[in-house]
Amino acid sequence: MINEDKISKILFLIREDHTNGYSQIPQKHYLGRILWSGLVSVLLLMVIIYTLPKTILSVSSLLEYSIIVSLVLFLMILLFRYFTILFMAYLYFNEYTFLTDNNYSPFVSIIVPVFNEGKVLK
Amino acid sequence: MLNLNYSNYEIIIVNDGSTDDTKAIAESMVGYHKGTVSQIKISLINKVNGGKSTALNAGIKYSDAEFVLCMDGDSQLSPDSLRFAVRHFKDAKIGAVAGNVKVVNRKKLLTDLQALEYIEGLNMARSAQSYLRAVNIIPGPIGLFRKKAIVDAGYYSRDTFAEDADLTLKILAADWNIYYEPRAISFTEAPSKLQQLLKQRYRWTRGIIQSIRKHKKLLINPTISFRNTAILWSMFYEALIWPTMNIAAHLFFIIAALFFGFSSLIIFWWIGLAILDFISALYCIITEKEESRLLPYTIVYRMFFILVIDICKAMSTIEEFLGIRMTWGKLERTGV
Amino acid sequence: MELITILSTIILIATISTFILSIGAYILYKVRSRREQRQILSPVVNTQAELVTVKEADEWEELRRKSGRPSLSRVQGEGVLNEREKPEPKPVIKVEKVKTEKSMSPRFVKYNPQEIENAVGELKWK
Repeated sequence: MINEDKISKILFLIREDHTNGYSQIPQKHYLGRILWSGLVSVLLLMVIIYTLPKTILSVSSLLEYSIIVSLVLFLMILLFRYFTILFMAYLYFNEYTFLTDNNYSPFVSIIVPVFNEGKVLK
Repeated sequence: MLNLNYSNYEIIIVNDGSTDDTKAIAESMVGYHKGTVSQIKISLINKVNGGKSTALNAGIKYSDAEFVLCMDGDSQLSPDSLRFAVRHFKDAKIGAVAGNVKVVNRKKLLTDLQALEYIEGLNMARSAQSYLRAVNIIPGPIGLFRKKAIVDAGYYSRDTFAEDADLTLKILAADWNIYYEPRAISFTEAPSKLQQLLKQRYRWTRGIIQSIRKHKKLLINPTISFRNTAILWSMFYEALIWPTMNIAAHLFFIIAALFFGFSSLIIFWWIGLAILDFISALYCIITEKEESRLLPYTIVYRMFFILVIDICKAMSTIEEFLGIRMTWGKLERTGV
Repeated sequence: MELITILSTIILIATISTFILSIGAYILYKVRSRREQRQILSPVVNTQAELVTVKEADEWEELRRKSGRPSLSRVQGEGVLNEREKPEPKPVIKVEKVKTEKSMSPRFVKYNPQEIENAVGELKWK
C-alpha cells in the first residue's frame, strides 16, 4: 500500500460507442406477433384436416406416426449431439500439446468491473 | 488476484457507480502491491453506473496492454490462470481465450448440480468448439482478449443482456479464432436459490437470443463464413430447439403414462438419459480432475435440473419473441 | 407391484412435480421482478469518470506533452479517453521471467494432466 499523496486523481470522459445492432422489440408488436402465430397455426390445422381424408391415415394413426417420428428424431439428435461433442472434446484434448521452455509473458491488464461488490473485492 | 504466477500484469478496477462503500474499498487498494512474482499496480476508474459492458469498455480503453483479461468482480482467478491462457496468443490468429469457470460455493444440491452443469454442459462443449478454434461464448468470469480483437469487434455492446456472448460472436465475425484453456480457472459464486438461478438463466437465454438476432445475417448466409453460420446454428439449437424438444419429450411421456397407460416408458427414458449423462460426466470429471462426488447427481441432472432450466429457457424465449421488457436482475452475492 | 411399475410411478410423480415447480417458480420470479421493474437502457452518452492511480501518471503526461499528443489529465468535461490515447511507455513494473518449474524434453508432448500440472509453455499443434 502506498501513501495518499502518491495517488493522483484525474477526471476524464469516456466516449460511449453507438451500437446499431439489436434493439428491444416495441411492446405494441405483441399482438401482431400473437395474431400471426395464431393464423399460421390455424392454416396448418386446416391443411391437415383438408388433406387427411385423401391419405390412408386416420387422425389417431397420424398422431401415432408423428409421435413415433418425433421421438426417433429426438433420440437421434440427442445421441448425435452428445457423441459429436464428446468426440470433438476428445480430439481437442488429444491435440493439446505444449513446449516447456517458453518465457512469453506480455503485459496484461486485468479489468475488474465492480458494482456494490466491495465485500467480495476485499 | 495478486497471487497470480505471472510477472507482467496490472489490475484496473472499474467501479460502475456503486452505491455502497465499494468506492472507498477500491480506493484503498490503489497503488503498488507485492504479487507472487512482481510488484502489481492497481488503478481504479470511478464512473457513473452504466452496466457491466460500459465498465469493461472503460477499463479496456484505459488499458495500455496488448492483452486484457476481463472478469467479474466476484470471481477469483486460480494462480496459474493467466500464464496458461496467455501463451495461446503466440498464435497470431487467436483473438481471445475462454477460461474454465468453476463453481466455488458447492455442497448444496442446487450449486452442486450447477457445478456438474458447468463441467459437463459448458466446459465439454467449449472443448469441442475449441477444436474448431471457435468457442461461441467466452464466459464473463474469465476471458482473455487480444485488445486488437476487441477493437475490431467494436468493444462490448450494451444492447444485449449477454454482452459476453455478443462480443464473442463479434470477434468470430471479425475472423479471429477463439480458444478454450481448461487450466485458466476462475471460481465463481453460483446462485444458491432457485429464484436467483431462474433470474440468471432468464438473462442468459434472452441475451443469447438477442445476440443471435444481432448476427442473423451470419445465421442465414453461410457464404459469408460457413464456420460462423455453423456456430450460430449450434447456439440457436442449444438455446431454442433443444429445450423445446426436451420439454415436448417429457410432456409426451407424462401424457403416455397418465392417459394411455404406458407408464413404464418413462422409466426407460430416464434410465437412457441417466446413462448418457453418467458417461459424459465421468469423462469430464476425469479430464478436469473434478470431484467424483458430483457423479451421483447425474441421476437427477437431466430429468429434473435440466428440465427446470429448459422450462425457464422456453418461457424466456416466448417473452423475447413477444418483446416483453426485461431488467438486468443482479444476483445478490454472499461473498463466499 | 413390480419394481419397474414402482419406479415408473416415482419418476412420473417427480417429473410432474418438477414441471409444476418450474412453472410456479418462474411465475413467482416474474411477479417479483415486475415489482423491481426499472428502466435499464439509458441513452448512449459520454460519461464522466475519475481515474485513481499512482503518480506515475504524471510522468506519462510529461511524455505525452513532449510527443505532442493530447493531454490525459484534463479539466472536467473536456477530454475524451479513448483507445490508444495513452502514451506508449507502460507503467514501471518490475518484470521478472515466469519461472518454469521443471525442464522437460523440448519435443511436443501429448496432453497429460498429470505430467503438465506444473508446466508452462508455448502451444504447438500437430
